[in-house]
Amino acid sequence: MSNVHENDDSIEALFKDAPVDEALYAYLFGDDEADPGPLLDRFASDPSAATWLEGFERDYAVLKNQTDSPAIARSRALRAELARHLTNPIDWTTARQSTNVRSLDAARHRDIPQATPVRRSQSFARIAIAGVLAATIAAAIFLVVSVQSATREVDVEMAQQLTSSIMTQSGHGFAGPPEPTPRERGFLLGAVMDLSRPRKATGQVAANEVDLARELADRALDGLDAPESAEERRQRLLGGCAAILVDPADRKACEDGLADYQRRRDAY
Amino acid sequence: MSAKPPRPAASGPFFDALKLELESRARMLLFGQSRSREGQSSADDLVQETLVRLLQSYDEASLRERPHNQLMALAWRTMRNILIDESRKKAALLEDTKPDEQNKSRSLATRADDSHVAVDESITTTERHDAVRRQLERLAPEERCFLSTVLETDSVPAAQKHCGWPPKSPYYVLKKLLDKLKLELAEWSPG
Repeated sequence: MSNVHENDDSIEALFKDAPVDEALYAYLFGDDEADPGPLLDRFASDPSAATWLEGFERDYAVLKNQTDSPAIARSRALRAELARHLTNPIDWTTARQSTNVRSLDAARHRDIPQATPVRRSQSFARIAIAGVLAATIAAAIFLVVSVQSATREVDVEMAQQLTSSIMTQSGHGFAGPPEPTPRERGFLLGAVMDLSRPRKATGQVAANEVDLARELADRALDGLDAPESAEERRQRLLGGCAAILVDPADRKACEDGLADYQRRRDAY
Repeated sequence: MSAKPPRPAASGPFFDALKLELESRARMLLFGQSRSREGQSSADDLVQETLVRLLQSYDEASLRERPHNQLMALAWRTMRNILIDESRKKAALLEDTKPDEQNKSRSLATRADDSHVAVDESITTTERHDAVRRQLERLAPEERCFLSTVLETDSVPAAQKHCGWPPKSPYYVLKKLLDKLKLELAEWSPG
């Protein structure tokens, strides 16, 4: 695509270093499912973003053989909003702070209806029953979680077997191995979390667990914007689905994958 | 949205900031669709309608207390649904001829011969078009189908549905294919 530019090398460099990721392609070629706001926020701190988008518009116009199309229009719209965003950022911090003050003031000055003695005793009874129920449920959940976490300690072999299907995927044509789906990222996240827990193992066994955790983290972050260092990537992943994925639907799928991993691990 | 919706009563720094965010989203949604049909709602109309719908469906406190990303995701979905509703109403009332759809149905192979297409002379050469087509022909059938359909429709979901490929991560695959095409076309340099 770079043949339309005067300097191929610089354009190549732009393509290499540009913030091209799945979210951007989903915005340009998607069906407007996801809010593009996070893209704007991210690009605001990336000086090469606008240039990359301009390059994309030129290159894609060559491929399309026409200078206007939905993807090109979206790129232009994103670029225009990026310029606005940079010159006139929206101050949500102040807006939220003043909001809280207003809400608190309103709450303080709100009229509180006086309850009758009968209603008050009824509500006490309801609160007491609800409290006992909640305590019972919480105790049961705590017991189940305690038992599971006490009996399930994942070692290298178990983690390898659980994640083997994701780690050994084959590619499609020259596109190479496909990057994991959000659900698969969540599944790998579960294994990395287990391997990263403090445990009794020491020496080579512990080192192998850390190595595998890094390898799995590397695969889980494949295609995402992540740190270079393997250890930093592992640490990033340990932040959970919210730390690696922006789109709410992707995060939900990631959480589902994590839950799926935990189910399979417990049934192992 | 033939008549402007009543302006919501909500005001203050929170709603001022929300309106600015919504204006930005509205511009992206409207201008990003290359829509120029008569009667297309303005960004301001869309913002007002979105605010009205949000305040009808959620109380003010609920909106204020939401985390920012959730609030904006909700606003985006609301805004998008308004546009979809608007398009459907217009299609039903005016028997919209859908020029956008006609554009989408044109194939890449016939586009170069279509004299009605507004094409920038600086980038329109038969050689380049042929080079693009040659590169497409070199791809595996499923890759060619996917990329050709993306080039025709600008829609990855539509291309994935049409070709039944790739099974997952279509945007990643598109990135790889476009990168590949870019490299191949870099070798063919018109000067």
